[in-house]
Amino acid sequence: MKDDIEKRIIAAQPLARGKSEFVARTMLAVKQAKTRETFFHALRNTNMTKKSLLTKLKHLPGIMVAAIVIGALLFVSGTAYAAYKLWLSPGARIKSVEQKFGRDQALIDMKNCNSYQGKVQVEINDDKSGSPDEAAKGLVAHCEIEAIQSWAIKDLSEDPSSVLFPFTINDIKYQQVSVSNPYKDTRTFNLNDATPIVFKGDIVKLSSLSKGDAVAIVVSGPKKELRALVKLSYPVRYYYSPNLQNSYHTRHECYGNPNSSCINLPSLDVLRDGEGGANPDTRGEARLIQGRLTSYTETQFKLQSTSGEIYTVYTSTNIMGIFNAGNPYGDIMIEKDDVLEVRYSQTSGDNPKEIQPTQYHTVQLLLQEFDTKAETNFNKYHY
Amino acid sequence: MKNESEIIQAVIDGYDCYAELVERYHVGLIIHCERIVRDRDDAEDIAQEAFVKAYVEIRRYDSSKSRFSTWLYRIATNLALDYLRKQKRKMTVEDVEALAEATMPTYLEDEEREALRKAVESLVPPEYRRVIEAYYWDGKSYQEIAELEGVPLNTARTWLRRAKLRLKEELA
Repeated sequence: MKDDIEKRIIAAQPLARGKSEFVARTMLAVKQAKTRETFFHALRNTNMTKKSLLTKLKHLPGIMVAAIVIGALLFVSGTAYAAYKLWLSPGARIKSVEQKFGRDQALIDMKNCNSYQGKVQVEINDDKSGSPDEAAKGLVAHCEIEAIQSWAIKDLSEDPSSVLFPFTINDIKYQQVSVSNPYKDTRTFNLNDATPIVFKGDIVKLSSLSKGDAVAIVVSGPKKELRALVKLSYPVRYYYSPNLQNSYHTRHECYGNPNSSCINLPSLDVLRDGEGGANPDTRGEARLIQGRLTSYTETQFKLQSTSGEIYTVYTSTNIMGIFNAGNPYGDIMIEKDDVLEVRYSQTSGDNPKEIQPTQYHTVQLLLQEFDTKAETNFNKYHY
Repeated sequence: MKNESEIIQAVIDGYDCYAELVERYHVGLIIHCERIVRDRDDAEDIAQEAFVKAYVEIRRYDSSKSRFSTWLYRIATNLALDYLRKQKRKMTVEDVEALAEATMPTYLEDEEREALRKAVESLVPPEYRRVIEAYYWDGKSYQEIAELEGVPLNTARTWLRRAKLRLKEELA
């Protein structure tokens, strides 16, 4: 048996104990990470005055200095926000929709998004709860929140900022906005003239907001003071709705096996890292493959990936038998045609289609939630 | 107390609660890094960098693939190995994984946690209790413990080793 006394002692650490100066130092570093490499940060950290800014820029041609300085001063002066986009508004265009794996596959062209760049393939669930258009909006909503967070963290305030979302505006009175979120968290904020109200990266007027609008709120400081109110592009459900978020999933090349396509789905552990006789050699290159289970025995199983190629995984224990006998997830059993995912490592001498016990790290059974009306969420994914 | 996934979701949603994760994992992570790089100050720097990196990339963390602690330890391990590489020192992957396994906090039921705390409190001689608390709960280094106790460094190490053994016997 493994000696786990140390980890148990550490896990029993009373809440009040710990290295408080380390925690404080680390949280300061977290705060700095939020604000570094920004124009605002540079101005603040160097205590740069208008004069010093001019001094530092004096080697530039005069017209350029004028442009930069006017831009910088307008940017920090509050009222000049409107001259600039605070962030570029993300967008999505559906390039094509085709049927594959029994489902609609949408190719969506994303712009101005950190997480999704260029063309993204999205698979729509076969229960018809979603659509390519809904998926595109969901992706844009995700990107929009990222952009707001990035702006709030980098540019908005000296203090660490937090972006809270999604809220719905319940009421707007003079300089006062009351909002609530899907968890029934209700808040009221007093606005002042310096509070930026933003929509799609542009400063807008308070009159642009209406009851029922979805907003994100940016707060900071120990009292969580309001720093900005951001009107969101879509209704609340695009920013928080498990049903919507589970109605589509992105597809991409399988890591290390680019001929095959892999999907981001929830999964169940069939074999966790380090279990079931796996003794992975982590010095190889990481690989990922997903495929339909075409056969299995006590010592091997075969997966057919989306490219049609067969991958044989040799096991040192009867992992399917153990999983099915143990029923670790209720009545879920692994059967032929289920879709499994294997993460493994591969060195140059290994056969790329034969995965040995020394290579695999994890084996997982792919699930697709909300695909059917079954009462359990453990619906297996098939194609 | 919030569970781990609630805290992570809250951090992603923009709430200021990342310190809860730092408080939860920092001692084990510092010990883990120290065992790789063999220097306490460097270990604290690496652990800190790992927390910052995990914070910055928390949206990439996939709870369906691994526990947060596993992911965090992996980040720290990679940073520590990079550090060793820069120092032209080496350590095998297997050794590092064994080290990570030793100090990654495990999940304890309330009852088990209470039993362990009581066992620590009852350790005799009392210096055994003090060194366990100082090292595993307060995050103190061997050097700091030796100075606090007014004993040579090796004595502090020996006390800790024996205290651990005694605790293991008590809990067996």
